[in-house]
Amino acid sequence: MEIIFDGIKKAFILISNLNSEVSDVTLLSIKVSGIATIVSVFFGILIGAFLALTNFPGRRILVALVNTGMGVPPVVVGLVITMFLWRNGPFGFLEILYTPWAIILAQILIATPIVSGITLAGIQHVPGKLKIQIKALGATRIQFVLLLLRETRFSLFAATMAGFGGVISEVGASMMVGGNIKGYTRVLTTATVLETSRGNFDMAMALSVILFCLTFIINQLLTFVQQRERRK
Amino acid sequence: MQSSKKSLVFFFLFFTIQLYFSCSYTLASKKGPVIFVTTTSVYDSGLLEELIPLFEREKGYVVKTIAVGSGQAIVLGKRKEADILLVHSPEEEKEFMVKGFGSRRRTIMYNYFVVVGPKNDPCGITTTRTAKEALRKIAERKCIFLSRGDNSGTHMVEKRLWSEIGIDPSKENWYQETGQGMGLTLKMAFDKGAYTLSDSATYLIFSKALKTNLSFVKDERLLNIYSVLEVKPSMSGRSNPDGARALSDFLISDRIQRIIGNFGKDKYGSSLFIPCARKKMELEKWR
Amino acid sequence: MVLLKAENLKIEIRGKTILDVKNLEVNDNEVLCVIGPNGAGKTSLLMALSLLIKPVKGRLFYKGKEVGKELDIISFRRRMSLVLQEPLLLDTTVFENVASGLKIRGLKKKEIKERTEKYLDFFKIKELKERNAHTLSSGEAQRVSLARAYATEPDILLLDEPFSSVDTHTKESLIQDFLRLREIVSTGVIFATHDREEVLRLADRLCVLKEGHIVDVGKVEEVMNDPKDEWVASFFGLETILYGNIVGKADGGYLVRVSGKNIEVATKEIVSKNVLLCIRPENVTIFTSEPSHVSSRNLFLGKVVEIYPVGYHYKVRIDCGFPLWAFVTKNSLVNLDLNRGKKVYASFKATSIRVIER
Repeated sequence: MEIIFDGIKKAFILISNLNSEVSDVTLLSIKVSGIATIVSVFFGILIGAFLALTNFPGRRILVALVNTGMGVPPVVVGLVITMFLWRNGPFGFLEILYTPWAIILAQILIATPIVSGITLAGIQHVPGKLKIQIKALGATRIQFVLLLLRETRFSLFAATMAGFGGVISEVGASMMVGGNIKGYTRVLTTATVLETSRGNFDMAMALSVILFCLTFIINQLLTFVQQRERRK
Repeated sequence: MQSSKKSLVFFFLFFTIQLYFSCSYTLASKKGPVIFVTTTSVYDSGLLEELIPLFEREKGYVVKTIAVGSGQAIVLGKRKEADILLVHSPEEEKEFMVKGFGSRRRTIMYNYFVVVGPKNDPCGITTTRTAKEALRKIAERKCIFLSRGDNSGTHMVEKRLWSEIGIDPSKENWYQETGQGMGLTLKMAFDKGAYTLSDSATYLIFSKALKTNLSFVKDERLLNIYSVLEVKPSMSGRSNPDGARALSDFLISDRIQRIIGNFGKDKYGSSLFIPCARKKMELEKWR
Repeated sequence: MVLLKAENLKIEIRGKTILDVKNLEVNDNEVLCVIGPNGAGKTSLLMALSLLIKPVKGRLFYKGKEVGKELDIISFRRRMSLVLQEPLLLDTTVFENVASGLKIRGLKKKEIKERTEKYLDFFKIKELKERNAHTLSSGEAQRVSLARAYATEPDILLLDEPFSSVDTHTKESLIQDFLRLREIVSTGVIFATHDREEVLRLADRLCVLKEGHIVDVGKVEEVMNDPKDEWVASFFGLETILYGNIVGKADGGYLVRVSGKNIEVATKEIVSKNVLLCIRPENVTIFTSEPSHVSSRNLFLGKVVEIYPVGYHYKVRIDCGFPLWAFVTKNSLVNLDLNRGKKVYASFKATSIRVIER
């Protein structure tokens, strides 16, 4: 109990003092997971909409892949990406292993199936007759997709939240492909693991509190936008 | 919807550009990054966070310090995914050198292995003088013993000790594998009132973190020796042998050896590592 | 003018033919009602005519141009509007919903606002314009759906049972709105329905579908008074339905001209000039000679065309210049010695006629 209480107290001290190490780690977490989420939302919606609105041989396999991808453990993604990005691996020439870009890449691969899956489900949930009605309004293919996406925007917000939640809290892949390098690729989750293994339980607790608050604030922000949309 | 779309695009561009510049700033050095793969016990002690910034500032290299278990570190070295290793598995290190993966091996520091147990010491290990005696006592009295079970340097030593006293504990009920790092294994041992084998640095750090005194046996003859291994460069040309050599030279320099010797004295009352770059031959005879 | 012409239009779903239309024409400014039993393909016909379901074969001509060749499908669809039984509104404001067709067509902002306001006004939903469409009652929602369809000012309006999911009161006011709009804008309307009342009040022409085929098409009275099959007969029931114009006032009612004959009807005030008269066969009395004192003011000389049994009664069709159905009992049939070609007098009370305004 004492450790938990100390951790929370320390968290507020660290936040109020604007401790540079903590704020760097927090900012990097936001940047990395923010970029990864935005890219995943873009590709995820594209893939989800494509799979929901087309019919071609092999589509079912792709849908199954997306659904499986939603549940793949980040560590697996991290391991595969690490092997691809090794200096002597197939993409070694990029020289991005142990950089924030590698974490972004891994997080994109983690979040994209999540966003695609939720988008796919959202669009499939739209009644078939509404789709006909939208076409009957004279919509072109692109207008049709855009209107459908607007209809499913609550699913898309949920997809964004799920994607962001998935990557900001993910530790395995960030640790592997980022290397947890101080001041460079250390994010909130990997820092928490490190502080735990160093026995700095109060610091680990403080970082967890910050991570929790961050996730909470960003989800509240998205929920706020979502609810504002709803009231319209 | 319009405003949220615009703000998304704004954040995306802002973050990406900022991150791009901060990365290119970090990697502005023309000398290229050195990939330094180290064992977790050293990394977790915080020693490298004192030494590496000094090296970067003085020599102009950027070091990417990656902490993994000793077993994984050796494998990464063999695959030439690392430029320089800091490990504590003498047997594997020798094999690494013999098979031609490394270009140079230097011993830089050591500490001891300790057998650690609960404060009231139900097995009475404090009456023994060596690690082997302590383990034999634990086996006799069937006290719970936690093993790392992760092929780390410490785990290798532990396995060697059991086989030297002729006990195979792997099927015993009182013998449990944690699969965790040293620190968390110590924490678990503390919580469960169990015994375990630890290096003295992690033991010191954790007994302070847990605000408790544990019973322990420090075996003066069971040394935990850390070496740096420079990896032979790969054909791809993406290795950084110059950086590896510079770092290796830096770590054995007298000034840095002194810093190592003083590290932790203020916080833990005694130093965590004993520098030994100049006494390599003496140490070998202990083995 | 022929607006839309379909040739050999065929729709299959999983190899099963759902619709097979050899030939169908829709004229401008007419209401073509599509009737038929459930599953006859009414909705499929609307979908096929707007190419919302891709036909396996067949050709569509819009104002003489072949759709898909001389006219692209999107521009073709933008000349039409669709209203389905459920309102199917977008999850946004009422205003945005009504404006959606116009936005899709890329109209200028100012024009969109003007036109949207105009139709919001027309359908009396102006005060709802900031509301989310999903919070509306079914009647309000159907008004929005209709306003959305009309806002694009289409050449052809496709209505699939648009009044069947609302309560009677709303339905009546929607029909009134529809009739008012018929006078202002000229559109071809294809109207699928299963409601006899709507057919009688709204249809100019009728198209009867059965198992995906058109079994009859023509003017309402033609189809109705000469039913091609039992389903059509039972759809319209046993009443005689006559189309007529009001030609003058009569004692407590109006004088209606039907096929050159004047029929007196007793009814409250009516506004429109065109009316439908419904006469139930049990309210028609038959005499073999001219009766001396008849209380009813409508007495017509006619000829028996058909007699057939309906349960314990016989149904007799008399040609009085207009068709008229009457019921007689078996006794009366014998007493009156009714047979085909016999001259008879038929009478019915002015108060027994139901008048439907058109």
